[in-house]
Amino acid sequence: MIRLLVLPHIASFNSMVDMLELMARNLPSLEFNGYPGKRTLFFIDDLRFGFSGDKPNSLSDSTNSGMSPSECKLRGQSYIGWMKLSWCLSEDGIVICQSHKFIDQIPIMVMSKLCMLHKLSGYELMQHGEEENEAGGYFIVNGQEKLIRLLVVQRRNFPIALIRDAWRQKGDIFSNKGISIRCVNSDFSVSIMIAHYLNNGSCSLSISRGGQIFYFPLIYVLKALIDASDFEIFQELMAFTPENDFLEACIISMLRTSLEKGLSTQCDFLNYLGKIYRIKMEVPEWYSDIVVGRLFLSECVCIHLDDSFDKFLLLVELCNKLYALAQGKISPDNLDSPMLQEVLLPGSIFLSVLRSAVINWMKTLRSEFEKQMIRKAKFDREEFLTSIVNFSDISSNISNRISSFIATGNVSRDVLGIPQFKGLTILAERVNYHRYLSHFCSIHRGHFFTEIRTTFVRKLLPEAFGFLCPVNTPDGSPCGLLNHISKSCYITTEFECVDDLKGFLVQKGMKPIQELSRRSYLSLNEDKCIRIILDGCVIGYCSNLDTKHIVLSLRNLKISADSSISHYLEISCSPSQFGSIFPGLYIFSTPGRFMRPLVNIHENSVEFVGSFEQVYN
Amino acid sequence: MLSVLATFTPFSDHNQSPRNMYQCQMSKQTMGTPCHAFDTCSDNRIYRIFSPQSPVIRPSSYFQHSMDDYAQGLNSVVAVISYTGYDMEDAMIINKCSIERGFGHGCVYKNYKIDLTAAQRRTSDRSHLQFGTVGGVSSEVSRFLDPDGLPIIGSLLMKGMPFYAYYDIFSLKQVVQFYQHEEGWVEKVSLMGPTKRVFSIQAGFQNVCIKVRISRNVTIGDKFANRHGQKGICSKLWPTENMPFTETGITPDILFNPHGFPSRMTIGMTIELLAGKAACINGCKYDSTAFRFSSQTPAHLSFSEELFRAGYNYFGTERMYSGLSGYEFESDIFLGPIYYQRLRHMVSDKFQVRTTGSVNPVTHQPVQGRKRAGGMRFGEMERDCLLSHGASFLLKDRLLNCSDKAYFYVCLQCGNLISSMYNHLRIYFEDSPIYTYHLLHIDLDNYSSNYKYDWLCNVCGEFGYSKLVVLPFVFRLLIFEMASMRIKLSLKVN
Repeated sequence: MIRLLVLPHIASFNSMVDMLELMARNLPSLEFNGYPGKRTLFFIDDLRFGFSGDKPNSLSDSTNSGMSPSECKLRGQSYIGWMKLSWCLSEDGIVICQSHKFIDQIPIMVMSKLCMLHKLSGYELMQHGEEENEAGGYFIVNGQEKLIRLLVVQRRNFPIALIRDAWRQKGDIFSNKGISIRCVNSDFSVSIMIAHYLNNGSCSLSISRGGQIFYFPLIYVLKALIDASDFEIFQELMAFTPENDFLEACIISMLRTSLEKGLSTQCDFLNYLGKIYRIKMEVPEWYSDIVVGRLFLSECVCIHLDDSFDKFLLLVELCNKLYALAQGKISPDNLDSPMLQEVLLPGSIFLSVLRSAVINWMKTLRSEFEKQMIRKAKFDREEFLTSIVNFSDISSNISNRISSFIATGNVSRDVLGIPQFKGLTILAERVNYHRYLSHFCSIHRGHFFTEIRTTFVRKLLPEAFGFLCPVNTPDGSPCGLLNHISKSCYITTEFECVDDLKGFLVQKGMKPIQELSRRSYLSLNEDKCIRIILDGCVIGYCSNLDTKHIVLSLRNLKISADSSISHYLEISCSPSQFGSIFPGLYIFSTPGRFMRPLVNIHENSVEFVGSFEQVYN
Repeated sequence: MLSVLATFTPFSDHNQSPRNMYQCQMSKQTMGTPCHAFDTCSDNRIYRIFSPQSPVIRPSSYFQHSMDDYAQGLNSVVAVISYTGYDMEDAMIINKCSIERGFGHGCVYKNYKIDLTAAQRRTSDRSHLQFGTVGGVSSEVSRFLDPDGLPIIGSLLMKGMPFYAYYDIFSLKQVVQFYQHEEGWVEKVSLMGPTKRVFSIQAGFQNVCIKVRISRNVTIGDKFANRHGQKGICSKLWPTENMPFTETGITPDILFNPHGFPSRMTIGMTIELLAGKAACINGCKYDSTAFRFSSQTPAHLSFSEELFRAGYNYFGTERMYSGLSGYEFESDIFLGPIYYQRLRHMVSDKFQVRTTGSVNPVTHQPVQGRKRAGGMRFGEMERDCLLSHGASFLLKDRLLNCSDKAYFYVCLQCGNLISSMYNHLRIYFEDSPIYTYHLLHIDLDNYSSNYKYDWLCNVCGEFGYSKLVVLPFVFRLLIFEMASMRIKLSLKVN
């Protein structure tokens, strides 16, 4: 049973190992002006973990590789594996060099699939000096058993309506209302966007990237995202809330003011964005402003979506929700409720730290190289290659960063996208078995909240029923912030498969999103429609009347044993009701959600419900 | 709905909610079974309890998590009775006989990791330290250490005994380290080979881990708790012949004061007692999962009936007799087994005592900290307390006599505390006023016996005004510090 408790740790680490390749592909590349007239591109094309068992020869002289966890503990050493970093160098798009480098001394999780104890029987474990039912889930750094703490964060890819008085300080016309969305990419990179309602009736989008916050009018981004006429944008913004004079007036005035700078086409706006943000983006100087603008949209705006039309639709949803909040039609959401929270999993924290370590390594490589360029006044390919090899030798930089993160629990700012830089790892003390167990199911609200005066975050809310234990929280300062997940609570660790979902929904009455030009808005306006949003991507809409049917059939499909969709899909439908939260049918398939089993008495089978799903169904 | 730990509390739905929270906290501090691989476990400190028992009253999650593999308590017979007055304020009396038979006996394993490479780095370049003894070690040392310089497995280590010995293979310089920690037995010595290839020398072991087992018998002051957030300190090991006994001759292991119930409202505990009694009589184990009973089918009902059927009192009480006088108690005593946990807070880790000892070199006040045999701070609030009692002599004792009492000469004329000097000569002439000279400038032979050393105030330049006073040493430190800022502090001495 302890294996179940440790599952979020191990499963998330395992899925992180599978995701390394994806992360490597998404890493930014380095571009130089290389040989006269040639553009040199340096990028990492693969990243792979391995355990010391199948160790490459070049690492054979390293000291503690191949040591069992219990020996590492006895010696005060770290339990490590290695990482293979493959890179490419290309000139004008032609790959000229492909090589790789082994990085040693990367701490790995005990009992994960990289671990030598993985899949051993109890008897074999005992022969390795472990417990018979050793469950792992921790790292060993300098002989200490450390585990990465589960942290509560804002639910990903879901717009949350907030009222915060602090936002008034952002500027003269800023109001306290805004919609915040935490966009998380498939490789766990995070960007937080907030759509602010301004007192003059317009809307400003703030995007934080790399510790800096950019503000610009929402309408600029909308126009930069798609090539559409003002009227089409207007129609899209009004589609779900017809006959709203206030919204209409606001949109018209926003569209009008957007013309004041003399910008009209999509290219103009891209150009504008690119011109402003190219300094912050650290892009090669030969990139045109339009390219930088596009890069900005893809790297900062709704990063969980690839298609710019999807991004556009989500921003429209954000805008609609914002104006509904401003008009008082919906109530603000409560960020302290588990309904709008998910878990920052150890695997994703590890991946983020690894990514930032690799990016940092590449940045040092770049600056080193640029110095060399200035000195030599020309690009020497051979020298560059040797310097990469040498440099990566000197900098055990990457593994040091990861080790020190696990040993101390500290990360540098802007690694995780949350306001917490310390206390991310805890020591798994073996005072007794109960204490040891509870380390793995403890979940913290975030270090930030320990310092604030208000006790609202510490409250036990009814939404937490079945997910967080109402009893097991310490007295004193961490009371209510350090919780433990319930026995039956399951934390998803995988991306569930949703390929067939769209087809099924269309079959059941969802109207899929079409190209803007072919859209017939009349049908939308006839009866009230709500959006169907899958992981922060608007995939369609349906009329209010169909909603119930769609939800029910989707739920039955989810429960059924031979279903093509996962049991861990979260289907939550907030009804359109005045004063309640913003209506919509939200489907979530991402990892890190709280789920718990319930008996569905209609179908007489076990159904897993999520924390959002629990409230509205 | 509940977390794993919270489900382990029996009948937790009958308890007041904070008590369940306390239990969750306390079960994490229990001395229990942290692991099974004690032999290979190398944590710095491991608590272990011997002869733990499986609880007779347990929730269903106990099976799911196979908690019997990691038992952490004992089914102990508890009598809810106020007896002897040693059980006031959550203190509890434990049967001395039970303790002697191993009730709650445990130990602490401590791992001392000794790495000579660290010591080697501190020495000169050409040295290589390794464990072992070279010839010439006194028999006092070799009696306790093996030739490899490490303690003998199974031997008792006491404070001040040789712990390990190492030497430099070049200079053959021997170093013996002495054991400075709590008395214990050597459980295991692990030798660890070099992690890096050491140059051409045939290297001995430089890295060892010595596991010491420290026995922890139950003593007065050790902390116990049951599974309902009811914790208490063992206040007395009461001889079994003086314990109250029942008609069947049972003497309880633990006497629990009934005053623990009214304000805490741990009804779960009373139900556990009833159920435990029924379980023991029937020779079975009962389920105590929360929310299994309701007001229609109260929990106590079925257990009480079990008791009644077995010929016991319906309410779980028994007639008892005083162990001191032999008289029968007027009231019936609630008695039955409750699962008790021993907590890891033990007197031997915490007691602090000092008469004299090391002092701070600057202030001459006692140092802080248990490890250094330091004192406990007697702070401002404690001072206020004594002041309000008018206990000025005690105050003087604490803050002066037992702290940094010191004698100083103060000049009566200028009131200076730091100006008096001793190494000056006072010369008496038969008929003249007194003159002073510096020691170095005069030839003593000229003055025959008419001189002696005396205290001189350097500021006034006069003898005879220096007077001995008793003051805290820090006060002079203050005066020095003020003087360094050119502020003079003068004392008026009567």
